[in-house]
Amino acid sequence: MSVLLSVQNLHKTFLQRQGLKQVSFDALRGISFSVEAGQALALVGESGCGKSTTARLITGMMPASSGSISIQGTPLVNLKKRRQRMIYRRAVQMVFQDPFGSLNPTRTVRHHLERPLRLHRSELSKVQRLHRINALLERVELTETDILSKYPHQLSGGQRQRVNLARALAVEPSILIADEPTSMLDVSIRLDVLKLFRQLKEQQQLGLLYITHDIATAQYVADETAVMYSGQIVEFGSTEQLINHPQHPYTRLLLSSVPDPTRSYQALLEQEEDFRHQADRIRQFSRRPGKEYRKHADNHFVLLQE
Amino acid sequence: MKQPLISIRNLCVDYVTGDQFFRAVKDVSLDIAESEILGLAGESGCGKSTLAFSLLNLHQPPAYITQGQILFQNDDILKWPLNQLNRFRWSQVGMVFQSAMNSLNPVARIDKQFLDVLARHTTMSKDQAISRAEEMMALVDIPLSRLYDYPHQCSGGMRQRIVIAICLALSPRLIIMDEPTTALDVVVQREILQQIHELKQKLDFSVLFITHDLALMLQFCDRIGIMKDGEIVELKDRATLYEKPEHSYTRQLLEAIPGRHLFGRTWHEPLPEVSP
Repeated sequence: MSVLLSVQNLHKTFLQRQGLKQVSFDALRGISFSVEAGQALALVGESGCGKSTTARLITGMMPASSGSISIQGTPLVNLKKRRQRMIYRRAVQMVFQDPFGSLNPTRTVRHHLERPLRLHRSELSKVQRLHRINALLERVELTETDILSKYPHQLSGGQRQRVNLARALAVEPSILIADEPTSMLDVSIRLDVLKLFRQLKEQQQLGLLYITHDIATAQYVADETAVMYSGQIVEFGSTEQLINHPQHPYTRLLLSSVPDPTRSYQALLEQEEDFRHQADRIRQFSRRPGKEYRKHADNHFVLLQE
Repeated sequence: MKQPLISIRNLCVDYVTGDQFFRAVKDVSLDIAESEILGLAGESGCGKSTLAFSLLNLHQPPAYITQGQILFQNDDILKWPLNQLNRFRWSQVGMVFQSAMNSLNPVARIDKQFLDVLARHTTMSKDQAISRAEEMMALVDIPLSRLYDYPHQCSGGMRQRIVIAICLALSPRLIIMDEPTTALDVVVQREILQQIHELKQKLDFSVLFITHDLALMLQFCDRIGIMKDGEIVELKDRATLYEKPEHSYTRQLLEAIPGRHLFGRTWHEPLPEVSP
């Protein structure tokens, strides 16, 4: 299988000015992974762990401090020429968290789907474009009549996110990055949207990078999962293996916090009275710099920390 | 059932637009008992937040309560004059809003925000108010020095706990929590909810908990009402609702919970011991 996206030892340091001194903050401390065609990788972690920074570096929105990113074997270095940037943007597309904020409220659905085609597929005629748009809508299961002439405020959250997905797919990217695509949707429609992602990834042999804080949803989309904490990948493996045999304390902390209707808080209080302090200790532990990855099983690695 | 603290009787809330109206809450009756945690679950737009706002009579045009009663100690709060309502809000019923961590004033230090609430609703002196604020911060496990920080210096989870502390400072009988943890990640969510349970045991208040996350609600609440299109379609205690849902919509919601494969797993306990 071909590797679509490969990330090697990625570092990102932000400099912040605090009064007269400059303070540096290491958002990413050596991240490596790869995504193959038709495969999905879930990056799971809490807010501030660096998962969205990773996405921003991959889309080229900001430069990495060190390390390399390559798409289909071509390294991403400063894309100076407009043509280079266009090619890159056609290969990598992104779906954002906020389904409303990422659509222009003054434009119709048609505009949102037509624009990427005009920019990246200028050879298409008007009729061909319309064909393509209709095919896209069908693919994301937006079959309502007159949907093309509707404005974002006339759509539900789930429909808006489907429009965003169709927009991203319009230019036929090879890599799709989805940054918390369902966290602002009602729980009741999350699963449908996730299943759609999975289906599209398989049909079109996309490489999908699924970024989330909800490890419970990873299994619906991702073949592999990487758990991030404080700028490092603390555990990596096939989703199945990782969820069934979590090794790193932070992964176990995440899993123990997934809402579980079979355990009431009343019972939790009695059983795990010390949860908050334990959570604090695990977070402190997981912040330490890593030494190396220990292989726990086939395709399952755990970070050893100092 | 225990004595109801608040009873909602045949409540209707309408949003008036031009010459039409949209009925967001349709003839709902509901009791919240003393020291009970009652949950209201439903999709966005089902009327659950509208219902919560009615409990404090907070609606502003174009929303109107067109029918029904809200009885607090057998007295209909909808008939109260504004000054009586203002005394009732916060001191008897507190509210933690959706994305509450952004409901702190960004340009005021946290101690000031405590003092505001306490000065308005009590006759405490400044020193008394500060010691009350310190007491509340200790209760939610936040170092006292944080009292003199600005909200942006605290993490999201911490800000959420501060809002809850401010809400509890007047010892209300009921706290309404409207999606209190949606913007937080799961570990922080569990920390906060576990803490609310602890506080409830200590201080004995009732909670009306509103969310669209049914899994969380089943874990957190004693009784749960499922709302759809402005009506409560099913209202049961948590175990019965989970094991024997009757309404088709409830079953649908239950089936849509992600992470079913993770429920009741043994690796939950114990969390590994690590040396810091």
